[in-house]
Parts: sequence; C-alpha cells; structure tokens
Amino acid sequence: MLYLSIVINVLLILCFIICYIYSLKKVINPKFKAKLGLFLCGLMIIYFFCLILTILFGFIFHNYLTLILLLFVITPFIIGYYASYKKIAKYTFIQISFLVMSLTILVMFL
Amino acid sequence: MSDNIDIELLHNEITNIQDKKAVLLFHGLTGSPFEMKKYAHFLFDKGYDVFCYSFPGHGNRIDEIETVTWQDWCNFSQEKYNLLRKSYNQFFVSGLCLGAAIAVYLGEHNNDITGIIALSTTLFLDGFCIPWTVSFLPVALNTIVKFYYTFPEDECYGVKNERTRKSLAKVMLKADVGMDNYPLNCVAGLLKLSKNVRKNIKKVTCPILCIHSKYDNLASTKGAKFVIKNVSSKIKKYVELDNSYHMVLYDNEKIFVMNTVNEFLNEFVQQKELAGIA
Repeated sequence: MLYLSIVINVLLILCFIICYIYSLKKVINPKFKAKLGLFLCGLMIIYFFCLILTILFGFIFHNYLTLILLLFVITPFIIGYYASYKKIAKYTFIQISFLVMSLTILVMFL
Repeated sequence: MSDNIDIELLHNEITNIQDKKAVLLFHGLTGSPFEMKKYAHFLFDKGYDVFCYSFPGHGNRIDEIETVTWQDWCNFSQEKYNLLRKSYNQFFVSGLCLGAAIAVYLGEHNNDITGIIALSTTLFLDGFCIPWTVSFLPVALNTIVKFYYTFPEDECYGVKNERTRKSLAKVMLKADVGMDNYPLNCVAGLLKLSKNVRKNIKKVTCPILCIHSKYDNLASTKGAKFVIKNVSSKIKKYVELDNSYHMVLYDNEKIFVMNTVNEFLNEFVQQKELAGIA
C-alpha cells in the first residue's frame, strides 16, 4: 500500500506540474485539458484511498505516526476551498508543495 | 452578412415598440445569442419585440466564464427583466438549456410574467451523452482540480441532423458563437442553479410551455417533466419531440418547435383581444 501511495503521489506531482505550466500559459487544448483533468481527478481519488488505507494499516501495526498523513487527505479540500481561478498558479504551486511533503513522509515510512 | 454582425444585431435589440409585446430570450450554457438568432427573427416576424443578451462570462474568453457564478447569471437576467418589463403589456421569457432554467427562475421570482417557454430545460445532467466520469464531480469540485477539469463539446453538438451538425462545427471554429468546452466551474454553476430552481418550483404561477426532446443528449426529459409536474401554473403544456437532440432550435423539428411556441403565444394574444372586445 505504501509503494502504491508513493507511485500515485509521484504521478500526481507530475500531473500538477503539467497543470502548473499550462496555467501559466493560459492556452490549452480543451480535449487535452479534459483528459488531463479526468486523469488528475482519478489519481486524486486513488490518492485519498491509499492514504486512508495506509493510516488504517499503520493503526493495525501500531504505527500511529501514519496519522500525520490525515493532514494530506484534508489539505486538497482546504486548498480547493480557498483557490480562485485568478490565482490558480499560486494555489497549484501550494498543492504541489503539499504533495512533495506527503511524498517525503511516505518515503520516510518505508 | 457575417455571423458577428448578426450577433451584434441581437445585442442591439430588435424593437418594434408600438406592439407592446415582447420576448426576452436566454441562450444556453457556454453559448451566445447567436444560437437564438433564427428563433429571435421568427418571433420578431410574428410581431414580438425580441431581446437577447449574452450572459456574464459568455461569448468571450474562457477566463471570463471561470470567474462568474450562477448568481451573476440570475442577477443579470433579473436586471434585464426589470428594465424591459415596464415597457410592455405582454412579456414572455424563453430560453434554451441554461436559459430555460433561468426563465423558470424568473418565473419563480416575478409574478407579472405573461408566459414562460422553456426549451430543453436542464435541471438534471442525465442525457445519454453525459460521461460516466461525471460521478467524479464531488471530488473535482472541492479540490483545485475544478480549474483543470472540463467537458469538451460533444461531437454531435447537441444536434441530430448531420447537415446542421457539420455547418455548426464550421461556425464554431470561425466566430465567437460559443465555447468548445464546458468548464467544470460553469457546469457546477448550472447544477447549483438547477437545485435552486427545483427548490422554488412551486412559486411559478404563470403559464408555461416546456418543449423537450425524448433523445436530448445532455438532459433527459426528467427536468422538463419535473417542471410541468410541480409548477403552480393553471396553464401548463408539455411537448415531447422524438427526432431531435438538445439544440431543438436547430434540429430536425425546429419548424415544429417554433410553430408550437407561436401557437402558445397566440393563445394569450387572442385571449387579450377577446377580453378587449368584451
């Protein structure tokens, strides 16, 4: 589960970097944007499930430190709440930063 | 005449003040007054003053539609309604897709509307072209993904007639007649508006005509049937089409749609004339 979480995390970072570049360009092919958005959304759902399962497994094996991952389940929703289209690049950067942090923590659990 | 000039013509209001009867038209989501052009000219030829404005954020760049909310669309329509209503004895509102939802919204908040004509009312996104990925919406809407998620325009353009579809595809490429995708934020706005309209539907008391295709690719007949079932209007009429998709004003049954609208409008004009004679 931990390995899967790491892979999904890396993919999410890459996807958001592509989004970040496009948000700076402001010009994007709608069909590509649709596929990217869909892929991003699917990854995000898997990411949440992986983190929650990692926390649950952590509890089963008495590794209560995994509880810190809960922070990364909540932050995308907090960022989403405050994000606005005008400041999309800034908020995408914040999201990427949180993903890098979660990746670092996941690697530490290995 | 180029397409752009025609759009300007609609923006500048086709007026014929002495008749004192008018129709305020609303276009669909990510569309523009261009899609109401034929309908507007049809109504104008029948003696109605026709007004059709572009919704906030529509008809321009994608950036602008991302920054507007459904309340902006409602406030805009209400403003236009307030501005125009006092000049006319008979005032109808009509719309397609989002426009139909807005027309019903106006009906809920204004008791002095003579009649509503709702075409392809979109209160539920459940047409046969809606992808299964729409179930991802709750996650996308609450995260930053909402700004990166979009629904590209379906290849059928909401039109069953292949010839019309091809010409629409060409027009979409060369003019500012609409967007080629539906940003998620915008779809979310439509869903919130639909929820609000459904909640207050009983407040509609004016006569209403709903025209909806059985094979609408974006919204099934559920929305239109919901409206007809729940409005408090004494006069309500539901017409179902069976050879069109969502864009009923451009599809195989466009003439039937316009004639049905004309019949509905004429009922009021005749009633008014009879009342005058009496």
